[in-house]
This record gives sequence, C-alpha cells and structure tokens, in this order.
Amino acid sequence: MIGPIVRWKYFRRSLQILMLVLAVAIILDGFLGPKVSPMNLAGVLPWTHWRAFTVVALLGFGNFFCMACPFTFVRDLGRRILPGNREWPRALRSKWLSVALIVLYLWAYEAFDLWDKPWVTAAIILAYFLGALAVDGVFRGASFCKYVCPIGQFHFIQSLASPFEVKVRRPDVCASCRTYDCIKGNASQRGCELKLFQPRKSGNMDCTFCLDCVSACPHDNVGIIAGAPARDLFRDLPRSSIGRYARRLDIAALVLVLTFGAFANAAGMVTPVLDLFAKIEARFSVPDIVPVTLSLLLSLVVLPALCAWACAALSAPARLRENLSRFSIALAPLGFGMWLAHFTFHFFTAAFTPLPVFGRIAHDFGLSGQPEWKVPSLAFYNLPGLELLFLDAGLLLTLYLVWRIAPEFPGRSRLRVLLPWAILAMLLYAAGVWIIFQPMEMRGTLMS
Amino acid sequence: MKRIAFMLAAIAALPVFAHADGGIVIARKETKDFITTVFASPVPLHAGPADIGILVQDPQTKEPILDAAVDVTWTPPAQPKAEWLPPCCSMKTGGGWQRATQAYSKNKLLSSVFIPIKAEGSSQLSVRVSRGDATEEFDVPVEVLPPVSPAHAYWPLLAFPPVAIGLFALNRRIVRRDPA
Repeated sequence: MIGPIVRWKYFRRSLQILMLVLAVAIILDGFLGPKVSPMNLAGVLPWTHWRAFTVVALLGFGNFFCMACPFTFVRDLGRRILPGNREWPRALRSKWLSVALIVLYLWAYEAFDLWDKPWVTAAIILAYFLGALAVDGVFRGASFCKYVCPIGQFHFIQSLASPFEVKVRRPDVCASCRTYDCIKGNASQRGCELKLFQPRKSGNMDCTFCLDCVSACPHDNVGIIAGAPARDLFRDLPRSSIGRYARRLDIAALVLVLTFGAFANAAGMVTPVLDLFAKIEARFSVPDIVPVTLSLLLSLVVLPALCAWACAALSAPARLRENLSRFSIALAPLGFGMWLAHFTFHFFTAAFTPLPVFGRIAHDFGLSGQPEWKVPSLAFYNLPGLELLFLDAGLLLTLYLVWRIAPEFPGRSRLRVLLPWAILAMLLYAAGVWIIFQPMEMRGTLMS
Repeated sequence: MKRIAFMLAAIAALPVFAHADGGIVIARKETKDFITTVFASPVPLHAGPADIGILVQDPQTKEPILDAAVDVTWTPPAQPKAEWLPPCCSMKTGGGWQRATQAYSKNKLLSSVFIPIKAEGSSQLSVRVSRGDATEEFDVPVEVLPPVSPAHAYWPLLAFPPVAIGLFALNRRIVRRDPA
C-alpha cells in the first residue's frame, strides 16, 4: 500500500514543500515573533519536535527527513539559474569538514543557548538555505549533502541502525544492465547525486532517500527494502563511493563525535553538570562560556580521540588505524540510543507546546483570542524506563557489532580484540544511565 | 505433570502482580451529589510521580459521571525533608490544582493525573469534583515513603544488558560445543 505512494512522482516534492512552508514560518516567527523561545515557533518546533520526529523516523523507517529536506528543494529551484557544474575540490572530498561543523554546532548550541534565541535559530535555518544554494549552485551533484551538511551526516550515521534501506531487489537484474541509469540518470530522471551505484551500494551511509535511483531504474529493480538494523556493518566490503570503513578515518571521526556528542549534549542539560559549571565560574571568576567550551572540547575532541586511540592500541596495535576506523563505526548504535533517549524525553515532556504558539500566531492575525499557555505534558511514570530501553538496545547492538568485527583482526583472541571497545561502550552506557537519572533542564517549554 | 504444576503455580502467582487500572483505592467519599473513589499508583506512595485516578459516580444510579471537572493537589508535610527531584524529568513540580482528565486514563471511566509528590512524610492529597452547581472537595491523608532509588525502580532494565550478554555467551558456548 505504501509502495505506490512512495513511488508517486510528486511524493518527495510534497514532503519538501510541506517542510519548506514550516521552515519559512519558523524563520518569520523567529525574526518577527516574541523573543521568548517557548512562545516562538523557532524555539519550539526545531529543537523539540523536529529532532524527536527525526530520530523516531530513523528508528522506525530510515532517513525520512533527508528525503523531506527543504534545503535541497530550494537548491533544485536555484539550479535552474545557477550553473552547478564544477567539481567539488578533491581536498574536501571527505567528512572532515562536516566533523568540524558538527563540533562547532554542538559547541555553539551550549555556549550561546541556541534553543533560547529564536532569531538565532531563524538565522541558522536561513543560512542553511543559502549554504545549500551556494554550494550546490557552484558544484555539481549533491556536494552539500555529501561533504558539508551536518544534519545530513547526523542522519547518515544514525540511519546505519535503521531497518530500511534503498537497495536493489534482484542483483541478477543489475548484472545484465548496461545503461546504469541509477547513477548516470536518463532523459527524464537524474541519477544518484551522491555517487552511490546501486549494485555496489551497501547500507544507508550517504543515502538521502531521495529515491532518484528508484525513479531512474528502467527495470523497477530498486526499492526501499527492509532488513536487520546495522546489518551492513557486520562485514566491511568495499561500498560504492565510500569504500571500506576500515580505511575511512573521517567517517570514524564523525561517528565518534556524534556518539560522544550524544552524551555530552544530554549531560549539558542536567543539574549536577550545570551546578559544576556555576561553581567553576564562581571559583575562577570566568564567564560561563569558558567551562562550556572546555568541557565540550574535552568531550567532543580530546576524549573521543584518546579513548579510540587507546582502544585501538590495546585491541590491535599492529593495525591501529584500521582497528580504530573499523570499531568506531560499531559505536554508532549506542550513540543513536542516547540521542533517542534524549530527544524522546524532550518530546514527551513538551509534546503540546506548539499548540499555544500556533494559537498565539492566530491571535496575532486576529483570528482567535489569547491562547491557553498552560498545556499538559505527555510525560509518563515510566519515561526514564523508555529511555533506558533505547540505551540498552543501543549498547547491545554495539556489543554485537564489536563481537562481529573482532575476527577481522586475526592473530589475537577474539575476546582480547573486542574487550577494549566493549569496555568503552559500557563506560559510555554507564554515563548515559547516570544522565537519565539526573534532573534535566527543560528547554523551550513554559512550565506552569 | 511437572509442566501442569508449574503452570498452575504461575497462574496462582499472577494476582500478586495484578492491579486495577489506576492503582489501588486510597479513599472513597460519598456525598449527596457524588460518590468519589480515589485510586493511587504506586502504593505505598513514594516521593516521586504518583498516578492519581478518580472515579466519580452518581449516588443514586451508581453510574459513572464522565463530565465532572476533577482537580487534584498535593500539600507537603509541615516540615518536609529534602525535596525529591524528578529523574531526568521536568514534571511540573510547582503546587496548585491540576486537572485530572480521561485523556490520561487507560480506563476511560477514571479521570487521571500525574502528581509529583515532592517529599516523604505525612502529607495530603486534596480532590475537588465539580459539575454544574455542585462542588465537593475533600482531603485524603497520605503517608509518603522516601523516593525509590533509580537502581531499585528500574533494575529490570539495568539488568537486561548483562542478562542478554550472559545468554549470548551461553549460546555461543553451546554452539561451539555442538556445531550440529
């Protein structure tokens, strides 16, 4: 039943237009609306609801929000006049730029309280539109998605544990294909802009679920296919446009930053950590940006690098770089579990907060009276239990991956190879449990 | 025979875990306008979130009244101990009346609300039922125990990974021993 809807020519465009309308509303309200974030669309929708829907969609379906991306819609419109014909610089054909942007974003989020400044949120979204337009207006393909977009990289990494994947139905059909429309495109449909050649594509890395390949395939041999989560990570075969994970230190860095970032981002909202920051500020008479910056530098850069290096050195010192790159990928499900726990918590506690904001906008236009700001919460007694369940699932999948990957490093016992990484995963899990049981600051929510 | 005995024992043990939807009755009040029954979960009450459910009935017909406005508030002990902080949670910890609604009840005959019980000791819940001109308000004394530690409250979920790892290790050992 879903198949024909997904294959419908305007399915993706409809989603993108819907998201574009929401993005425009958020930008306008962010610039023109109240400066109090819980009363503004820019303070509510992007930080609470969009992030929660994103991770839930990744858990239950796949990279749905890249499919519905409004930035690429505007980019496609812009390309009608912009050339978009240059090659992306060879030196930047990796994830390092994205890694730097993600670190910058996670730091700015805490340091400048982005969730609490609607106009800054609006400016970021606007900058995103302009960035996508500028990059892809100059360079061909989906260079912005593949090499720049931090949101896209977040989706790519978390979708490694998603149950659906865009892939070929019958490999024998591809073996006899001579036109390669899925990557080259044809007269009526462009091919994959992220250079993923379907017969050699494996997993969700770099796949935006744009479904261009599905539309382009003349044999109707590409579709959204279900499978076991993270199955692609069990083996390290050469993947189209990505190669082997064991040789991609940049992707390992991306996973490490996003995994440690999941814990750092949640920890930055719990009372004991905020109290610690306050004590440091008072003790050393420094502004609040100092402890925030130092803690994020430690938790996003220094700690991930040191931990990964130490684990690889203990696991397989003779193949340190390869071991580090390969095993780091296994941490992705654990990070995803923490993001899920964090974002679903915010969603359940603040589920109805957009209602009075829409009411306020209707009031601004003279369509209704003053909204009722006091809204019920969907927080339930066992919400921490649900969060723990996500974390448990993430840990177990990570440990299973570590166990599957270990034989790729022969010469040592399997246990000896996997143990350092398993211990790192369990330490992160313990940190996650501690965070879940702390009182958490509510952001973007008016509490009665 | 052993299997049947095990099943019977399991069935006999089930009532230990059985709770009515909405918890256990902690108060019942009959007036000329309403019969009000207050349920609480968990019982005994611990500092922390408490699920309070209220069944309002017509005293003449005993039929449930579904359109009554039901509000609940909690008054702390006179000398409260350290305030309970919600675990990673932003439940409304401020005082005041909170509306109980059928939207939060699995059993749609009850009106329910989560009340953050912020401190242990002798305290009281107050319930107010209104319908048309009739309003009834009464207090329910409650003895609140100290908050349950997270490890105690969520031990099954904390035990899940080690148990799963243990079972997996056992499975691998069996497979290694007997590959067939």
